[in-house]
Amino acid sequence: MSAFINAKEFFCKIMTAFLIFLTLNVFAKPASVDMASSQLRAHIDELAKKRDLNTTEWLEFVKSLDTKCDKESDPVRKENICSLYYEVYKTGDLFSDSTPSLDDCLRAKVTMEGLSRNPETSKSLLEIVEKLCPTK
Amino acid sequence: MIFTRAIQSSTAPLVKEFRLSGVFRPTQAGVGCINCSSNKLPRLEAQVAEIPKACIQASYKRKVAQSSIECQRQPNGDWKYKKRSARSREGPCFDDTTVDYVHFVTNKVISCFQGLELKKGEQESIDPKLLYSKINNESGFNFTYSYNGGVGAGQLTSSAVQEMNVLDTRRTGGRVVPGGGRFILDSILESKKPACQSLKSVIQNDKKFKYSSPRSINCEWVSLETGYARNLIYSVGFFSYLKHEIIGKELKKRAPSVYKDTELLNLLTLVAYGPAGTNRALTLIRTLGMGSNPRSNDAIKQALRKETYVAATASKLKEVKKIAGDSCRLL
Repeated sequence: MSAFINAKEFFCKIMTAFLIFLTLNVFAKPASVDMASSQLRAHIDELAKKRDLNTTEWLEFVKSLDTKCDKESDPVRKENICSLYYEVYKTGDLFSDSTPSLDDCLRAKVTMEGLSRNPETSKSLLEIVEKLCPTK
Repeated sequence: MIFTRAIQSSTAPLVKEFRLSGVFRPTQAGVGCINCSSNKLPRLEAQVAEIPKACIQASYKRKVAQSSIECQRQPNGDWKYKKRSARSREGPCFDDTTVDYVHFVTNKVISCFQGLELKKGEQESIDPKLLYSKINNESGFNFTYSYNGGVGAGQLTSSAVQEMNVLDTRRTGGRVVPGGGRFILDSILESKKPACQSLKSVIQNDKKFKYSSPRSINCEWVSLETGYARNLIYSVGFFSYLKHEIIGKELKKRAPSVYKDTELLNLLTLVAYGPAGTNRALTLIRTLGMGSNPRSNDAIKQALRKETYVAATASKLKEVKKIAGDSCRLL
């Protein structure tokens, strides 16, 4: 009888440990995923607020995002980072060759809206384009 | 009957050409008409058309609840229209003449786009089955279908129309700024191809009228006379723009060998119409490791076929196959 109780207790302990492990896994992974992409999104918001943001600084950020998308090995995180890269990549094309015309900038805004996955980031990106583009 | 009347009396060059084509034969019965005859699906046509009439007819028979706007051009040039909700017991009447006209316009648009000169000497190549499956999925060729999510046969959105014609002038301070895909309409207008000639009349004034949304002047996008043709030209044009200028460009840069696979590029472009849009299609270039891992093109295509929009398109194609039997040789 006591052997049976011990076995039952042991089983309960194993199950509890398993449940704790599962819970930690379920909550830990999305949190780390959110950290990666939300930090990058927050950085875009910061850049949008920056008064002296210049094309070089912005292009460096876009390039770094491209590299992160390439190098990330975690599939979920890779998807989030690459998706974010494609929200911003049009601005990379826009400023990489020469100073774009106002028409180029207006066109890029429409295309970027079509690529947007997050309204806050989209708003920040439009602010960045306005900041870096000619006004006439 | 308003569609047949429009075909009989319209002065639009495209309709006139249809009347002279020898296909025109007014009848009353049809798909969706009250007391319509059981009109059987026609057998395979002797004349090889890019999308056979039987396929379009089978699509109309795949009845789905759709809110619609039926437009009628008045003698003074204004539009008179009737709205039907998706719950309405009667649907628009697509009689045989209407199906003939839709068939005529659809294949004219395909012929015009086939081999059309794009940027850098590139030529467009349209896969009729792909186009058929897309229109079947979007509207089932119901050119009157209109709701907040999309307008007409191709379910156009305002961002697609802005890319294809001019940007919304409310956002450009009144400036007329051509969208990224406007060169495709210009290419049609400059084309010497016979199939493009009567389509020119449909789009030649679009830049002047600054169409930036399919909702502002709805009948211009859902009417039988010119709305269907305009909607289809913009829809095929927008697909072409996405395929070559957005997705193709990125695929060529990241995976030049994969880019050469036309079927794969078409599937990837279809993904862009899904819930996560063009962003999803571009992201897949990287997450599926196109060009950077040994995954075969067939394995990539298999993964793409599981994407929401591509799967929905295939499923609706299955429905239509059941209806069409062996009458539609595209299926």
